[in-house]
Amino acid sequence: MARKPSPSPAVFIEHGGAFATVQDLGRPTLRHAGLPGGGAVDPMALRTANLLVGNPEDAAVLECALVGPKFRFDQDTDIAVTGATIVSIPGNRRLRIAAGTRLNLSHFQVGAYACVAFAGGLDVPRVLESRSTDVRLAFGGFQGRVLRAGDRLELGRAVLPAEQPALHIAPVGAADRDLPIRIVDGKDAEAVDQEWINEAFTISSKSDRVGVRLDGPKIAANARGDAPSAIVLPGTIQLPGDGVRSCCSPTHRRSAGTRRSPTWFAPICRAWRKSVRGGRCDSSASRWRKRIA
Amino acid sequence: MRVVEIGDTALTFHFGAGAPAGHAARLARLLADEGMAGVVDVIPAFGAVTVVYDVAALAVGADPVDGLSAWVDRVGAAVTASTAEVATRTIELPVVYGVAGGGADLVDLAKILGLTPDRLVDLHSATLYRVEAVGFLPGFAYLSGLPPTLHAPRRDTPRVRVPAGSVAIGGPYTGVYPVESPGGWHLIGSTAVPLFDPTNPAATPLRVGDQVRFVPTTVSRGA
Repeated sequence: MARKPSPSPAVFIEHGGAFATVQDLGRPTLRHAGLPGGGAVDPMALRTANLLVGNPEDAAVLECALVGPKFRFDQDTDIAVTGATIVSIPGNRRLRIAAGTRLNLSHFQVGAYACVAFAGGLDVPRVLESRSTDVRLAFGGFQGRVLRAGDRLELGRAVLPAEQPALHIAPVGAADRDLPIRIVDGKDAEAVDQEWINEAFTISSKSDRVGVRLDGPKIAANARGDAPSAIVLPGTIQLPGDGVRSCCSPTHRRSAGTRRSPTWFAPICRAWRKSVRGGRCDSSASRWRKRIA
Repeated sequence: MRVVEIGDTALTFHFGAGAPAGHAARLARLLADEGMAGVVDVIPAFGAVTVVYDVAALAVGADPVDGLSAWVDRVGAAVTASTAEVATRTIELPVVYGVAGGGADLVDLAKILGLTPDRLVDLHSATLYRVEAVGFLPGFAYLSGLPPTLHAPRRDTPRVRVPAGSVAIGGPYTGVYPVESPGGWHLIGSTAVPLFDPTNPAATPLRVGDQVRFVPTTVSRGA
């Protein structure tokens, strides 16, 4: 099929990969209405990618999980890839991609989530203040869904002159397997045995944008029964009755029913993207310990 | 007032059983209206108020706990000193109870509770509920005030799909599923009033502190 000249620059998705969506910094101001904050799993990666191509920090990017998409452009386009490292795609720098070049992001080396920023940003409509996709509620982003072959996403106007020298930044500790995480005691911390805090946990392959599941020593609760309902935000560790730990991710439901929410920690996503090697999402331990303040 | 940190992004202020009903909702409204640089959202829920913040932008000095506690104390004093109550809205939701309204659990739940289905409907619709929290789903209101005879543990096996508009009972709460979702509450009917529309933020009509009444109706829902 002949392709007509496009009025504005665009990304053409040739293969959707495992779970590629349009994300920005989400809807953190609408949690009072029960919305999940949503947005990029790794906000630092999103901000960095945008700055590298001259976008505002909160411009919409393509976030891809585990197996990235394949795509091409109809015009020369600047991009930057941050977060997970990907075979044959230099990360953390601005790359000029010639029109027609096919990019293949399907082979992740380290990490589970990557952000691809395009100069000008992905130009999808704002829904409820954000361009983020909420796949479960099927709104926002590109038609409220994951991307697939045949999708054409328009780009906004790039602001950085093409002749500007590329800025490179150092990858954020990509080789570091053991990551300490700062933990803050939460509402029900007293009801939970604290021995687990110095133990190592593994990020389970069952993790997704809704929750990071942790495999490791069982955490003993001193009290039985459900805790009263309370606010849950990204980073909250929950202990459902079966003893599986889960740590809420951006699109977690904003308040939990009656699960125990003993202890909280925040920058889980940076641990998450370091938890995977060889493109597989399993059994690469991250050691979390309480930081001595 | 007990202050609990939620990681490095939020504080929850618990006011305890002694606080007047509706205190958290009124306080949250005042906090949100006044606003503060770096405060991202103010969420009233279950008698507590959670202040979500961006520590890099917060305007209260080095310690968010001290700074935000002082803010909440000051605004909280204005709530209790105020004689002018924030007007409480009462929202009526027409409900088709029973199987005709998708209330697949009405008969079984009545049996568990030792009531006739009609009696369950009478009790459920005679009560004026208060929105204790909005969460779990966008626009999903946890409604308190359910008569103790209607309290019921969640279903042993949650449903994979609960249709939007379903009116349900779970534990000490009743509520309406605004969008299709998995769910473990007992379904007793449905309402056609839309409670969430992503294209229209104003279409999330239930706010913490509102009162809600269910009005039995036999008018079936639109196709």
